[in-house]
Amino acid sequence: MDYVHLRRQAASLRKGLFDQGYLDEQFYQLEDLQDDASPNFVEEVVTLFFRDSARLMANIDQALDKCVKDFNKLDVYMQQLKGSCTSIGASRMKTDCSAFRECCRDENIEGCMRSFQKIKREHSVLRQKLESYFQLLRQAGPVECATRPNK
Amino acid sequence: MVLIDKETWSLEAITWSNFASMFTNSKIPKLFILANPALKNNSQFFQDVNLNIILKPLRASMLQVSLQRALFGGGDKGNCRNGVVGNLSLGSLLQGKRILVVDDNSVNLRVAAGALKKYGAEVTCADSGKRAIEFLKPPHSFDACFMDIQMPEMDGFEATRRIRGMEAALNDRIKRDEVCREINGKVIQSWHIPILAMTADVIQATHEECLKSGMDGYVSKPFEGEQLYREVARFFKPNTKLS
Repeated sequence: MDYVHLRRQAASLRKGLFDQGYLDEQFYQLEDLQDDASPNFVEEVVTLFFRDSARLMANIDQALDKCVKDFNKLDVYMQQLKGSCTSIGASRMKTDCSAFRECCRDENIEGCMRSFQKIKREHSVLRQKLESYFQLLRQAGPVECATRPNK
Repeated sequence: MVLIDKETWSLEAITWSNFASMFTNSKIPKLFILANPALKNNSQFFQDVNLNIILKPLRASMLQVSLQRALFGGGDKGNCRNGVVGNLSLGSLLQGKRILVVDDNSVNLRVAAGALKKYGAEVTCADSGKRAIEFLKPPHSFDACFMDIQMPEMDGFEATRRIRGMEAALNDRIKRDEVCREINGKVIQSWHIPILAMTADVIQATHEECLKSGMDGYVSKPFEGEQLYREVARFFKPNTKLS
C-alpha cells in the first residue's frame, strides 16, 4: 500500500476544499482540536454535522411543502442550519443559508425554494468530498512521524 | 516593532528561528511574523516558541492582543497563533475549571466543548435552558457557564434570569444566616456564576439584553481566540503554576 501517495491525495483533496471555498478557517480550528485525547474529533464533528443538517433539511422540505408558508418557522430552521455550518467551516453552505434567510425576510417563497435547492446541492457535494477525504485518511493510516505535507 | 510578512521575504542564509533569536536577546525591537494560515500544516514553524506569529489577515484586535502580550506579557512566552492568544494563556485561565456549556444545537455544543476542553476545562454539556437551570441551581460546583441565547423552548436570557433569581433567593438566606455558606470547603458569601452568552449575531441590542438579563458578557460562536481570552480573563486569574 502506498501510504505516501494516499496521504498526498488526501492533502490535495483537503486543499481543494479550501481553494474552492467549500471550507473556511473554522475548519482549521476543528483540526486544532484534534489531539491524542480526541484523535477522531474532526470526523466525529463532521459526521454529527451531516446527521444534524439532514434532519434540519428534511424539516425545511416539509415546511416548504405545506400550502401555508410559515416564514418564521423556515427562518428558525435555517438559522439552526447556518449555525451548524458556521461551526464546522462549511463556507458555501453558510452563504446559501444567509441567502435563504433573506428570502424569508422578504417573504419571497420562490427565492426560498431556489436557494434551498442550492443548499441541497452544496450539502451533497460537501458530504461526498469530505467522506472521500476521511476515507483516504483512514486508508493512509496514522502518521508515525511528522511529515511536511505538500502545500 | 518589526512586522514581517513571511511570504514576501524568504530567508535563505538562516532559519526563521535563528533570525528571531537575534531579536529576543535584546528588549527592543520586537519581531512579529505575519503568516498565511493555509500553511499551518507546516507544523515545525508554527510550533516554534521563539517566534511571535500572527496569522493573516491582520486584524486590529489580534494585533492589539499580540502586542500587549509581547511587550508586557509576564513570563509567558507562548507564541501567538490564529487568534488563540498562546495556548498557554487560555490554558492558564481555564485549566481545571468546571464549565457548563448550553446549546440546543448538537454540532455547536460539540465544537464549543471541544475548544474549552483543549484548554483543560472540565466541560459539562446541556442542550436546553431547562437543563441549564437544573445544573445551576445553587449550590453547585460550576465555575462558569457559556450559554447560547437563541434556543427554541427557553432562550438564554430567560434561563439566566431564572438562575439569577435562584441565586438571589439563596443569597438572601445567606445574609440572614439561615443557611450555611460553605460548599465543598469554600466559603461563598454570595452566589453569582459568571454566565457568558454565546451568540452568532453580535449586535448592540444583544449586548444590552445580555446585561439586562443578568449575563456577564458575551462571546461569538464559534469562539474567537482573543475575544474568548478577553472575556474569560475578567473572571479567572491566570494560574501561573500549571500542574
